[in-house]
Amino acid sequence: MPDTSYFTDLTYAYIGLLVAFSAAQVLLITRDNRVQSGLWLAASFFSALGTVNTPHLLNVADWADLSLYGVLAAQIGGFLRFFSLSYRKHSFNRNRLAETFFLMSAFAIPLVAVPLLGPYKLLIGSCIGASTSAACLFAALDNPALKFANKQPVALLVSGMAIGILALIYRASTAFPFTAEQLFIGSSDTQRTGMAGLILLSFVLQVGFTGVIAEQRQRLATRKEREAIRIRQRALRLQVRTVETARVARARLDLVQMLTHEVRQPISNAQASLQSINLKLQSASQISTNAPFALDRAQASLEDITLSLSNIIVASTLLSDERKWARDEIDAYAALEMAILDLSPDQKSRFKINHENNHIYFDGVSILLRLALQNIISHTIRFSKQETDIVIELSADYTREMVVFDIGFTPANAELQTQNIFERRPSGDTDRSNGSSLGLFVVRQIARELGGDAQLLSMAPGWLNFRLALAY
Amino acid sequence: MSDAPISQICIVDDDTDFVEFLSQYLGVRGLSATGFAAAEALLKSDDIAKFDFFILDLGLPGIDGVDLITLLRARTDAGILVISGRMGPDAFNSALSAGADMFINKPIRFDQVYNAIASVCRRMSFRVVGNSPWRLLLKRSELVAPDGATVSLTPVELKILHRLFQNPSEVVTRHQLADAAGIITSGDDRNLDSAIFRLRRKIEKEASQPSPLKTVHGLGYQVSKPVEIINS
Repeated sequence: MPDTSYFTDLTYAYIGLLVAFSAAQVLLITRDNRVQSGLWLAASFFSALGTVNTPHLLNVADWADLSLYGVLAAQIGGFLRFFSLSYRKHSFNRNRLAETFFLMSAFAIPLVAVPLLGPYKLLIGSCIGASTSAACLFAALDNPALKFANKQPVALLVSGMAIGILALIYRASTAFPFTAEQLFIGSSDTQRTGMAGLILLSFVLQVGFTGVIAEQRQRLATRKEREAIRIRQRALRLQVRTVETARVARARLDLVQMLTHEVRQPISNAQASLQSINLKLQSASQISTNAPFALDRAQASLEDITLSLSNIIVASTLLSDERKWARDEIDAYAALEMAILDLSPDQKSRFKINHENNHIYFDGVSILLRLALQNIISHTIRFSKQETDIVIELSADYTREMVVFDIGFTPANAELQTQNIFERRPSGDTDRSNGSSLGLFVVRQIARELGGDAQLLSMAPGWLNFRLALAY
Repeated sequence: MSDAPISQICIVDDDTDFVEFLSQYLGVRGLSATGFAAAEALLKSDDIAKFDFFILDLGLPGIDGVDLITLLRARTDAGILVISGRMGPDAFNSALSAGADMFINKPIRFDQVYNAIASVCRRMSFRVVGNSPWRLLLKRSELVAPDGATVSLTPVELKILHRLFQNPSEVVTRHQLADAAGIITSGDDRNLDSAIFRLRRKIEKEASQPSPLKTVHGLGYQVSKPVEIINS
């Protein structure tokens, strides 16, 4: 029997060492190294279990029947260590040499239990241990997850395992002469030194692995710091680009508005001149019958152009301009009358207005409202059957707290789509079923700017209704 | 043009044709108009006081239209109608804040100008009588408009107006107003907003003029006209 008290002390020292390093490794666990650390911790646990179940080492657990399981537990610990050192992110690193040693160990284990090979148990056990250590060594050398700028922890780990292999080979060589009573750890001076050496080796391995996961943790922290710096730099670049984009957008908007105003202004003047000429023609005694007609045509064309230009200006302002419109008090009925007066006399006669007797005042933007009504009215004329009445109702909706303009008409085209009619279509769109999309798109933008909405509703068969509801 | 009779209109626009034909049109409608091609010409003349209505363009040579509005507003309470080709928020906001009564865009038909003058005059008529305040008669639960029109109030409406009239320059939050009127808001302000909406419509119907209540978006309500509380 070995010197029990000496080996007990060494075993306690060994278990204490494992517990201390395990605690340190638990503290170093991160999301990235949890599998590797978990496998290593399990390996340490099984190694400790193997030691506890070796009856002649610890008198606190003198379970003689479990001695074989102790050896098995220590071997499982070795295998788990192999898996730990083979693990890389989401998979295991494959190395043919490591796998060969691992399989040799695994297939040799049953030989220990064969009664006929009883005298060679120490030899077989030492070879299995050396083979498992070799598997771990090659796994660690080949695993890219264990390659760091700081090579010391891995060097320590690999050196420890290399020395372990040599020690186990040496122990195997001491198995002669073969007897069934041979103990892996005996009481000779060499064996006592060997046991102390194994504990020292275990210390080196634990230090090495702890260094490895500390290095991984450091690498993770560095990576996170780099990512944070990159994110900050990207945010800064985006901020600069946003400012630059806003500046360019603003400059483009200014150019569009300037260009549009430059075109719109002379057209307005031309319209005023035509209006004046019209007045003069009315008082002239002799004029060609075609003259008023031609004049009306010219005026109508210019009005269409002006409306389109106004839509472009307002759409660009509402969509991309951060400037806000001041609110003024609007008489809804007067605004409606103003929009009707934009029409030519023959079109004007088609409109029938119903409204409450009293004026409805609300806060809005008068020039935007006029443009919205102009657009709705021009589309109503375009969509309605010729020479039919167009009925406008102006009311205050008490429940929704809205001022509501309802413009009802008989559609010329029974298939007229009411859905998505306020959406802006691409300028290259060839679908002409609903005419230009900009006018109605502007109507909805204005309605939203004024806290309301615009819709085209099918009220009854053959009767459609443009509804413009604005916040009171 | 019966709401606030006017006799002399001043038109300032560098488009002389527009001025000439608009003057002729207004003349046909019974309004006398005098045109000026620039602000300086108007300011140098001794006739400013005789005009009771101004039609101005913004893009004037020399003194800009907005500056002219400011100068005129310092001298007169006459109606100011801006007719401009400018469509952006800057022109609109600056004209209104300088004191213009209405802003309309060119192109505009002459009959629309006439309608706009009528609309401003209707507001001017409120302004003329506006020297006398809106009066809240607490004991009689009535609101008396500057022109003497009377609006009967429910107890809740009386409480709302009483709270608002107590300090006319103050913006009263919805929460404060609901508390004062005893309205349960139950997590949203719909009950209060509905009550205010109905009150404004009632005032506009029975007094035939804009209500003195003004919504301050995102904050609450305020009175925008001179008001007075009568306890007797």
